Amino acid sequence: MAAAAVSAGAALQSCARPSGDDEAAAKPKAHDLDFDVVVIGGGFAGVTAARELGVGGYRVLLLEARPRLGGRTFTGKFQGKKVEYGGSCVHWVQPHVFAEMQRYGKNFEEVPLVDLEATNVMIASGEIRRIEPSEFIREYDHAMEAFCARSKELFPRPYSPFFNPEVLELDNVSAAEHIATLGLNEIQEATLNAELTLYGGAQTAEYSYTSFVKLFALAAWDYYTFTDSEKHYKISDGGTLGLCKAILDHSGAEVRLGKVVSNISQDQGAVRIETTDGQVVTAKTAVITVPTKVYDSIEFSPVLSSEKQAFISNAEMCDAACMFVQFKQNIGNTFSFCDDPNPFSAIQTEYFDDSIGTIVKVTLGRQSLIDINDHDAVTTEMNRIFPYVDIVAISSYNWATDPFSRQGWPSYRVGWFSKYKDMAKAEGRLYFAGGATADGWHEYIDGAVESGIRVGREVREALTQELVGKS
Amino acid sequence: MTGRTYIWLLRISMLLVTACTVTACSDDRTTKVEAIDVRDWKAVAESATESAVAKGERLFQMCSSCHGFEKGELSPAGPSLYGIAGRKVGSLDSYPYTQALASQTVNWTVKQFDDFIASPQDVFPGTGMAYSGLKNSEDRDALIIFLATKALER
Repeated sequence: MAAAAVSAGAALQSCARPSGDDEAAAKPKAHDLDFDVVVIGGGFAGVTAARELGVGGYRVLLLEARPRLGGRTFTGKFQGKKVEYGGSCVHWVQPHVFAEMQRYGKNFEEVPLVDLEATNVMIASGEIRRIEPSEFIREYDHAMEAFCARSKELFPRPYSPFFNPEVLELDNVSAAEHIATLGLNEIQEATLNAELTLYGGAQTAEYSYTSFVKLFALAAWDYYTFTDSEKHYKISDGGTLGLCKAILDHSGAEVRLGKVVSNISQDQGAVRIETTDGQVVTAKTAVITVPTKVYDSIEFSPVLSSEKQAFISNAEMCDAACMFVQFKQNIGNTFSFCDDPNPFSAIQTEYFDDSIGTIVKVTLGRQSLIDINDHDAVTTEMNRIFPYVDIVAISSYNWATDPFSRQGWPSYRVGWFSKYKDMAKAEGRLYFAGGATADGWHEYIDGAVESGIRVGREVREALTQELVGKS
Repeated sequence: MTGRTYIWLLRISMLLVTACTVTACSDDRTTKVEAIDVRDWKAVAESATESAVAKGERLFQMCSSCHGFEKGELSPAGPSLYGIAGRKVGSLDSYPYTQALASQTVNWTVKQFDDFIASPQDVFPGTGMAYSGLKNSEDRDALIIFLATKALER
């Protein structure tokens, strides 16, 4: 067990351990279980929950199936440049992740985005419209504002998304249905539909209209602020991994990587967690932060509520992947939308100069439309949009086929936004977090952090009553 | 890499591989270690063309987000491929494998690697490798040629 923790630390180059200067003295041990809390999942929800409880003196174990931290964020390198293969965008209007950046001294890093030199729109048929950036921005702006025109009325308090009960009445309206009511022109419809295919990780006929409008409302119901919040800034100083490690290091939690949870059982006094290598740990409580589609790989005893099982089976469908492509040529600062069913939903310049050429980030809302591991297929598709470029290198991360995510970011299927709180409800000694359970920025890092803070409070209240009450 | 440099590296590396399979030194002791059979990887490397190596190197970029080649290197999200030729699957001490790989008893032969990279989850169900597979057999051949030359450089 100790060896596992050490090897995990070696792989991480960072291993959180209990330290003597924690903000609170360790809580008195009032039981013979291995830990007070086991957190399952080392993404932002998990490390935040671990920190919330660890600094309170509770004995916390964090289990992560992957050999790395970060969950659906992943700071890596491509052709010598730091890149984010997963969730990356942060902003000061995202209060939870911004607070963590402030706490741990992390700054913002701009991606090019502003001062675009060229913009392209591939309409659904596959034809390309090469339009001036000013026209691109004007048309996309119009479409997005039209789609979200009722954001303030529907979401006067975005963190209480059902404060206006009309939101519940609109739960069965898909993004595609709403787009069809807007009277958009070709460019407007293509850019908006591509963006919403990306957000939904699915055809817009499957994607919940109101859940997206809530995200827009969170950016102060403002188009410029929303776009700025979703595409403009990353975390500098180590990227998402740097912030994730900082939170975890603060937690004092023990960390075990490569631990795939297979069974979770609970009785009146304890939770028992078994991993696929046959190891068993016991704790007073467990916090589960795995992506919604991963729940099916864990056997629960007793079984989860029927509401949770329904949500797990139906609510999410994000089929997303991310890819970086290096061109030999420096094509400058570009942005392209490719409408569904063209696979490269958004293509954004990340780096460009005459020595490196260009590195673009491609976000695929529906990775199953193309085999992203097939270089010939990727090259052919890219040359439809940029016919003159030579491709030097390609690197991708397929979140939909990763066995420990099984999906991209949390996005609600039409009809399921109204039920997200089912996924957040504690069941006995089990507590639930993850971006999908967030009231606010549920498709973002911010939502994961929000959920970690919320679940930390829930567990702390429960353990305070149980453990301190006994001592 | 020029053909001449490549052949020179190959000759040096063949000597090194042979030596490493006979003895290993630890402190003052010399210990007999189990020989690692790399003949199939050597055969691939010896038949490699420069263009195939170059193609394989380009294809390897898709692996480089998780895997590196340096000895003892802490790869970002996957085990180092240093010494993968002939190595037992899931056997690096410093790497937190999932049980799906840690429990394996087979070695990384060329065929094993080819099968795995075509569809990782089918070959070792439960592996944590977030890669859905390289379906094009010509691409796999090129990737394996590149890995073979890298593996036997040492």
